[in-house]
Amino acid sequence: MQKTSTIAPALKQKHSLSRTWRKCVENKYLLIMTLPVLVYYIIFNYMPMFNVQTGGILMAFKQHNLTRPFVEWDWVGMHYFQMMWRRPDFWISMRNTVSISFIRLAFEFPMPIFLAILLNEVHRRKAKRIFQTVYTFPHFLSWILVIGLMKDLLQINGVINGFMTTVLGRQAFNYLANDSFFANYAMLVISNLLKGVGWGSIIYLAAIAGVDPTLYEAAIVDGANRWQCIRHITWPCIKATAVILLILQVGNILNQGFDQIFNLVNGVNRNIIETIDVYIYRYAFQQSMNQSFAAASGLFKSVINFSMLITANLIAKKLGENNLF
Amino acid sequence: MDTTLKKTDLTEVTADSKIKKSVGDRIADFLIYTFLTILALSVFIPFYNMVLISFARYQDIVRTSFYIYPKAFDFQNYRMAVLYPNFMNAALVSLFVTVVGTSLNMLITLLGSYTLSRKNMPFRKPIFYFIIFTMFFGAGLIPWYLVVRNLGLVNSVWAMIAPPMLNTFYLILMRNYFLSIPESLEESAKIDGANDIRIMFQIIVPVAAPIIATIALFYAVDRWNEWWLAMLFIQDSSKLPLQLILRRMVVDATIDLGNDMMNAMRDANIQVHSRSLQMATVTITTIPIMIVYPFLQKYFTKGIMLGAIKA
Repeated sequence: MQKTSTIAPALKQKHSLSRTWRKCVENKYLLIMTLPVLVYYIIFNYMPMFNVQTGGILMAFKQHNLTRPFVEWDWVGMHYFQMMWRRPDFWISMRNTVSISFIRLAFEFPMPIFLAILLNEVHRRKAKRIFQTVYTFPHFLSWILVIGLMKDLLQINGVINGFMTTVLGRQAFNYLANDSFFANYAMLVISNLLKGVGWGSIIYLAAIAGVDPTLYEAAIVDGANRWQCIRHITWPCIKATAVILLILQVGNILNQGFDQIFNLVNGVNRNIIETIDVYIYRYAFQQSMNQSFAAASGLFKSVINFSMLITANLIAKKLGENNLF
Repeated sequence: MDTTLKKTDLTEVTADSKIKKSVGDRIADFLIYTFLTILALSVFIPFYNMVLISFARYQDIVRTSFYIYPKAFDFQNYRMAVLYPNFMNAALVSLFVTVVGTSLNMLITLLGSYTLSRKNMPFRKPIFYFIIFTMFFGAGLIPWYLVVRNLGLVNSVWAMIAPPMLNTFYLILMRNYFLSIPESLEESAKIDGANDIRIMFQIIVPVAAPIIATIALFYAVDRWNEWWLAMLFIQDSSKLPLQLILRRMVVDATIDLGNDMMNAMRDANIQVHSRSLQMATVTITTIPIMIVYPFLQKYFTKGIMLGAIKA
């Protein structure tokens, strides 16, 4: 390394290729070790994008045909995108996805921050540990399990309806199959919060744990109250984390909890909670089997997500906040 | 003061005993504890209900409209859940996927995160971007589905193992941990002429035990919870994992006991409520997670902290 830096710049250019080669030979074990990883990414992430046999992304631009191999499909350009544009059910699923996304951003995004701040105010170690143990557990269960629990609680003769009818004297309500916006969105938000808020708060608690405790001591000595400590010490320390998670959340604007919604959708609430992912699945595997159409919708979704992420990151950069790249 | 100092630990002392609590502080404390307790109860109640219903007798559920405390502990429902067609088979499939899947996950993740954490790795940056890009952009469901189908994974348990062989997020967490290990540790091994494979297994892996345990548990939980891949690729009911059997039971609400079991139940005059059967199955599927949860909890905070999200 020392030697190369002393050679004249012109020579350096010539040597750089052989130097790369030498580096590869020297570290051949490292290269061999990365091979399986690269193979994985090529097969499962890049082959779906670019693959002659199955079409990859290009599928969205060609006429779907089950009887012929992909290479022989007719080129139709933006046909499927135009078709998608004209379909009212596509726009319903888009509207649902975006509204669920915004509701999540408004209600689910701040909750872990709030919870972390509250937990940080609990000074009894044992109590704090018990709370955290309870809050985090459901994160590790699959949505299938959680929906099993939800369905039992929420069904017509379940505990919640039992409480409503016998204690409050209200009419029984079918929470799982109704076409009320409020009831459906509340169910999505509450169940997702109960499942994930504890896990979500861990990252903020970790950020808070990194705060220098002398800051709090100094503030208390200066006569700061609890609220002022939170406002001027805790919050600035978790803001950076919050911004990064916000960028990621915006980049996922069209991925709204597939597992949760896919397992809750039925004929009655379809028009209210069916998101774009569920819609794509339905078109690809259930309804018309038109895979080109589904691929076009999927590509549209990926592009929107990616550009949202870039935009959010750019805005964060402009505002002088932390950003991803 | 002296005695309390001994009993409580230092952080509590600095926070609580320095200044006498004001009335406002006490009210704030009360509100915080109330809120946290209500939240904890809301998380806990569904599980209470799960256990309650899973032990309930048929007549308890049918006759009581608001069943909130146990009237009996009936193991009948659990027996029926275990005897449910394909249940035991599905448990074995899930176990296989979890054990084999997690082992392969760990091997590949270790290789990826170790090589990407080495400073002398050729093309380190490009490879890193090559990997990161997949976190933010994908081809979509259909092109991916067709690739997996072309690999011949349809109707094979490997469909639940190969496609999720690597999780980019976990890979980065582990790589960040490896980056924090001082290089001086491996210098002596390098002088002895050990190659990277030996350095990884003999020096790095033992030092990184906490993160390896965390990631292994994360992977194991993910594999145990797998249902989506099985739903897409598996047709034989004998190859279905537990989660999918459960999905049919609770999401599709199709409970098919099979003729043999129905006849046997009629002969023995056994009545099982579908809710109890569902909840017993849910409970059984939750138990493995409950068993590993204390270990998970021991490590995950540390793992998340060290890995942080900034790559």
